[in-house]
Amino acid sequence: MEYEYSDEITSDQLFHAYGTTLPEVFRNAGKALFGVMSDLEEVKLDHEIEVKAEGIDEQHLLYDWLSNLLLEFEVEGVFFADFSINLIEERPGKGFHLVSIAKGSQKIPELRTHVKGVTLHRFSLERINNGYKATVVVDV
Amino acid sequence: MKEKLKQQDEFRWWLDKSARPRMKVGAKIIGSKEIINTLEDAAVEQLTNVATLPGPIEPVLAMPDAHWGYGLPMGAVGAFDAEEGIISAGCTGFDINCGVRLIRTNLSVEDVQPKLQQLVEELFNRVPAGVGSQGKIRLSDSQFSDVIRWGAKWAIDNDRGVPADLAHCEEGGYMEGAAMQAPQVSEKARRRGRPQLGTLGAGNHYLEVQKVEKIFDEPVAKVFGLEKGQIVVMLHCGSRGFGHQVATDYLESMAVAVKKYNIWLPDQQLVCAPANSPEGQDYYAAMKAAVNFAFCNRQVMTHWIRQGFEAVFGRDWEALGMHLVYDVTHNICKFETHEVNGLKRDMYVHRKGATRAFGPGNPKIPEDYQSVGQPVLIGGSMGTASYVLVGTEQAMKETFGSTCHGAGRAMSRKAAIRKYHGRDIKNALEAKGKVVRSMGTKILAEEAPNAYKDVHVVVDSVHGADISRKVASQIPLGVVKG
Repeated sequence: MEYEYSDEITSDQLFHAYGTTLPEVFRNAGKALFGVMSDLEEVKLDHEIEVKAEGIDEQHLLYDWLSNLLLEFEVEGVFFADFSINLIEERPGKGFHLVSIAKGSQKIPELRTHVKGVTLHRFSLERINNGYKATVVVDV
Repeated sequence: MKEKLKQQDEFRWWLDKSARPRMKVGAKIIGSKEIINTLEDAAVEQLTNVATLPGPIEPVLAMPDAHWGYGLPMGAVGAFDAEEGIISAGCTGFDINCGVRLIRTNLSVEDVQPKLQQLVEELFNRVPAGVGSQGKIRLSDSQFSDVIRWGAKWAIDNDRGVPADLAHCEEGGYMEGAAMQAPQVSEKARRRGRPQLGTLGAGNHYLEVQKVEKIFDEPVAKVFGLEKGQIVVMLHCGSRGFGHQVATDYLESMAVAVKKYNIWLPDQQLVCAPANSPEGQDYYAAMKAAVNFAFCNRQVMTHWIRQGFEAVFGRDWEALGMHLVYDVTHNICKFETHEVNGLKRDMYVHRKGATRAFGPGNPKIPEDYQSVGQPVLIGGSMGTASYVLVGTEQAMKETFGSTCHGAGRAMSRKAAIRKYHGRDIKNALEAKGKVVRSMGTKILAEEAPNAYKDVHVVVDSVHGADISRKVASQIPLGVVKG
């Protein structure tokens, strides 16, 4: 399973993303984030934007990256539906650094909701038996 | 946690600080038994979380529209001592200065009904809606700095409104002391905000042409310029991507600050910093920039709404009597002074989904409303009733001058999207003679009126508790949504 949604919070949206590797859980969390807003299958991948992120640890790196995706969506007008995580590295004394390519379309699909931001409520990136699990609540 | 609530009277419920470890003060919930019955236990739990933060002033409050959110419940008020307490980006939330303004008119239902379709179309075309919607205003970098410094005043200085509009905005349409540049206001936030001035956005934001349905308090309604059968316009929106980015930036930086200041958090979304620390004050200055952006955003759109009416009715807006009744914010943190146990105390009041409700005689409210109290604007869910209330002395004594903000969700957005179809919602509204325009129909589903609590029950609770009083109610005729 790449990701799943939960209804348990009344006003906001919770999702879990999974991956056997760190890049994979990031990619799936990105897809879950945009999947809250519309159906990803409807989106042609004809536009690419490089999106970077920084964080003191892997969890903060994920927070920064997801937040930066929302920023680029609004500023560049590209709705993302897939991602390539090209680099995640730890720089001594400087924390983690990520470089990704976000893929999507300037033809924005009809939205069912709008994500305003990624909250820290229950936010986590944890190791599970066969990889990683991210838990994210977004403000919609 | 709900079983620990003690009923004080018909509309008041108390949760003692012994309800759980680390609570520093008690919590109070305003609401009828019906409200308490439907309130999620998790929302009460979240209220107790806020009471564990440093320096809270009793009580932490939930309004009758409260519901489970992230961090602080929506519909909550948390006041913290200005010296010993904290300022929290998490408690304020993403939609900084999300708020409501109400514009009156001299028009009656009879004047508007025949031209309603045309009017709604006109408003939809003039006010850009939708996600990331690019505004019609092109701002240079220095103009953007002026917008976030001067708020609605920037719009007035640039011929999009009149000085009287400012007098009828909370804070006079801008907060002094806003930061404009990095490091307080990031380049990311500026980049995100610049193209979005003068845009409605999506989600729960809307613009409604409403009819005043009932008057509950004739003398106060008269002071506010409202009467039965009159057409008014309600605008509900906020600081857009600019505010969302300011919030995001400070959630990240305050996550570091809580470690530095050794603050224990029951929920990492409640990230905060000591009120008088550089981190706390940096956030406060950046938050003010977002507050000002939102005031300016609503003012710019007011200008276009007036132009839309002018185009349809062929008279200028002054002749149409389109004065601003008031502009309130319902997502904000503010430095205020309130009397607590007979002593004046300086504090930072966080209102997340709550409205200021200052009573008569308060110097912070407009001169022409001094005798009655400030207008409190309550937006119902899309397509349902809205209210105008008035602030009271009781609110000053009991709730740090605060009251509810809207209906409050009763069903999760995801559940609403699954249960309802946007097309059906639109058809149902249209069957009742309402005109609805939106970017798409899917987005209407999450805002389905049935996904919300009954706004009448919410308002009856704050009226019953006397933390604000009913003045008028309105029903929508036309809806514009992002």
